[in-house]
Amino acid sequence: MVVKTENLVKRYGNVLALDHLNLEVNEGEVFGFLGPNGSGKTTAINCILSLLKFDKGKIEVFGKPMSPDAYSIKRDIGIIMQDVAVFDELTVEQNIDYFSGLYIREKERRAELLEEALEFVGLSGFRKYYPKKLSGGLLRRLNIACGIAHKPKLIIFDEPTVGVDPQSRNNILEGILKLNRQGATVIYTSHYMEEVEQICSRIAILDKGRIVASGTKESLKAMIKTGEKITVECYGTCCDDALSSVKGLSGIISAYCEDEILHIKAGRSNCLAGVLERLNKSSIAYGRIYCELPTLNDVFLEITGKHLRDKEA
Amino acid sequence: MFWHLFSYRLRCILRDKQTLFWSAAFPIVLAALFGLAFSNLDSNELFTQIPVAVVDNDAYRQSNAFKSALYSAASGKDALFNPILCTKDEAVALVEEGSVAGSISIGADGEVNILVKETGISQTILKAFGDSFVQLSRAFKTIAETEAQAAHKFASLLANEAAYIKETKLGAEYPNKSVIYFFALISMACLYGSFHGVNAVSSVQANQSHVAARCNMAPVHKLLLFGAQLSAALLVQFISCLLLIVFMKFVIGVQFGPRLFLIIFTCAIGASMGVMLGALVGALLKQRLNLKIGIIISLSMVLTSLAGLQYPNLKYIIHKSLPLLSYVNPAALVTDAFYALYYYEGLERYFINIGLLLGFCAVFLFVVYGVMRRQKYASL
Repeated sequence: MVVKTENLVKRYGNVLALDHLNLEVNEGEVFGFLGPNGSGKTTAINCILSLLKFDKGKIEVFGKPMSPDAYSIKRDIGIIMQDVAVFDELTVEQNIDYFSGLYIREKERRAELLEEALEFVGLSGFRKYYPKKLSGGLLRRLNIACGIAHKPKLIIFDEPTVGVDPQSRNNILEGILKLNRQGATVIYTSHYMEEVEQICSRIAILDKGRIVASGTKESLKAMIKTGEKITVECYGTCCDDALSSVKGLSGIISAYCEDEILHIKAGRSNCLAGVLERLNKSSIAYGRIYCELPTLNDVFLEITGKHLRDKEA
Repeated sequence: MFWHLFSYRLRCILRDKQTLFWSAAFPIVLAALFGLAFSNLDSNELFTQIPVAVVDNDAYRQSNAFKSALYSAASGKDALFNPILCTKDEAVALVEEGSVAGSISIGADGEVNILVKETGISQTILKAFGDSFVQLSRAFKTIAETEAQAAHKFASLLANEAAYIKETKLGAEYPNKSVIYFFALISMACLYGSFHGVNAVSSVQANQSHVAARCNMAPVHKLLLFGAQLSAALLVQFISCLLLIVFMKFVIGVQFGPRLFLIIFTCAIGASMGVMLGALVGALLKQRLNLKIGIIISLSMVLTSLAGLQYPNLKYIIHKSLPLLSYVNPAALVTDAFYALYYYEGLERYFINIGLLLGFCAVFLFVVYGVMRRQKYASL
C-alpha cells in the first residue's frame, strides 16, 4: 500500500472538509480522485503530504506514518500542484535544478535528471527561458518537470490541467501514463471526469469530504441503474402519449422531452429497438439517434443527485 | 544543501528588481537628493572675512597703532577683516551699495568713526574692533602720561597677547548638522532590509505562496531552508548598505570619521537588524505578504522619522524627554551608532547602541525561530 488514510477528519471552523476519509492507493496504479470543486480533494492531498494539520485519523505513506519531518518518505514523493509553483526569477533549467536539489545532493546526478526532465516535458528548447516568457501550457509543463525531476515513486497531480488548452492537456495526460509505465504510482485529482476515465485504473469519487464510491471505472458504472442513455431528435414535439408509451417499456428508468429532443435513461437491457417501435406506433417522426454508455458524471449524479461540474448542473 | 539553497536564493533576490530597488537603489537616490539639498546647509554657519572700507586720510596714515591693529585683524588664517583702502566718499558709496559691511575712519582727534548701513553680526564685530582699539589706545595714552616705563611694559604685553582659552574638541570631527540626515538615511536603508526578511520567512511558509508550499513538501528541514534564505538576505542587505555608505562618502562627501572597521561593522549590524525585523513581522503576522510589506513600510517610516530623518532635532528631543523610546527604536540606535563613531573619541556610547542592536537581533531571531519551528497550517 503506497497511501492509506483511516478515518481522516479535517474541519475548517464549522465546515467539515474531510469526513472520515478512508483511502487506499496501491503501488503501480493511477488512482483517480474525482469530485466537484470544494469536495475536499486538495485538502485530502495536503493532509496526506502533512502540509495541513488534521483533526482526527491516521495517514500512512509507503507503510510508514506520515509527518512534516518524515523526510525519508518525502524523498520519494513528487507533487504537481494546481497552481504553478515556480520561481519567476529563475530560468526553466534553474527552477528544475533548484527543486530537484531539495531531494538530491549530487550535482552530477542532478544534471542528468535535469536533462531527463527537460526531455520528458519537451522543454529542452526553452531551458534558458524565464517562466514569464512561457505560454500557459509550457508553464504547466515546467510545473510538472519541477515535481518529477527527482524521479519520485509516488507522484501526486492536483488538478494539473485546469486552464490548459486541449493539446497541452493531452500531452500532460500522456506524460502521466508514461511516468506510471516507468514505475511511479500516481494519484490524480480532477473534476474532469473524462481525464479520470482516460488515465485512471482506479477511481474514488469524493463529495463533501466523503468517498461516495470507489473502484474501477467499469465497477463504478456497474453500481448505477443507468445502462445506457438514448437521445432521439424528434421532428416536432413528442406528445405525452408517446412519452408515456416509451416510459412504459421494460428497462426504462426515465424519459423526458425537451426542445424536441427525447432523453431516455435505460437499464442494462437493450431498449433501443423498443423505443423506436413505440415512437413509430405513435407516428412520431425522428431523425438522428444516439446511444451512450453512462459516464462518471452519471455515476456521480445518481449517487449524489448533482453534477460533477458546475456548468453541467 | 545549504549552498544550493543559499545560491539560488541569492539569484532570486538579485533578480527581484522591485525589492532590490527599495532596499538598495532608493536609499542611494534619496542620498543623492539629500546631497543636493543639504550642500549649503552648513555654509551659513561658516565665518567669512568681513569686507570693510578703511578711509585713507591723514589721520590714518599717521596712526601707526591703528594700522598695526588693522593689519593684525586682517592677516593670518583667522583674519577678521578684508580692508579696502579708499577715500571718504568712496567709503560712503561702498557702504551705501552694500559692498562692505561698513566703513572705519580715524578722526583728527584719534577717535574711531564707524559708518554702517544696517545692523548685523559683521557690523557688531566691526564696532567691537573699533571700541577695543579706542579703549586700548586710551589706556596706553594714560599709562604713558603717568609712567613711561609701565607704558613700555604695556606695549610689550599687547604685542605678545597670550591666549588663556584653549580650544578642545569633544570628538574626532567638527560638528556638521547635515550628517544626521545621512546617518538617519542609513538607518532607513537598514530597516528596508526588512523587505528581504519578510520575503525570507514567507518563502518557507506554506500558506504564503505556492512555491513555499512546494518547498515544504520537500525533505528539507524548514529551519535549514530559512537559514539559507536569511543568510542570502543578510548578505544582500549588508552589501546594499555598504554601497550606500560608499556612495555617501565618495560621491556626496559625507564624513564618517576614520574608524573604517567599526563603520563596516555597524553597517553589518544595522543590516542584520533590518532583516531580522522583517523576519519577525513575517513570522508573527498571519496575513498575506502584501499586507506585511505595507506594515513594514509604515513601521520604517515612523522609526526613521523618530531617528531624525525628516527633522534631526526630533532625535534629541526624544532622547532628552523619552529616552526609553530612543533605546527601543532600532533606527535611532543605528543613527546614534554612526553619530557616536563620528563625533566621539570614546566608544562607550557607540557600544551601548551596538549592544542594544545585537540584543534586538537576538530577540527577533529567537522569536522567529520559536514561531517557525512549530508552525503548522490549519489552512493554505
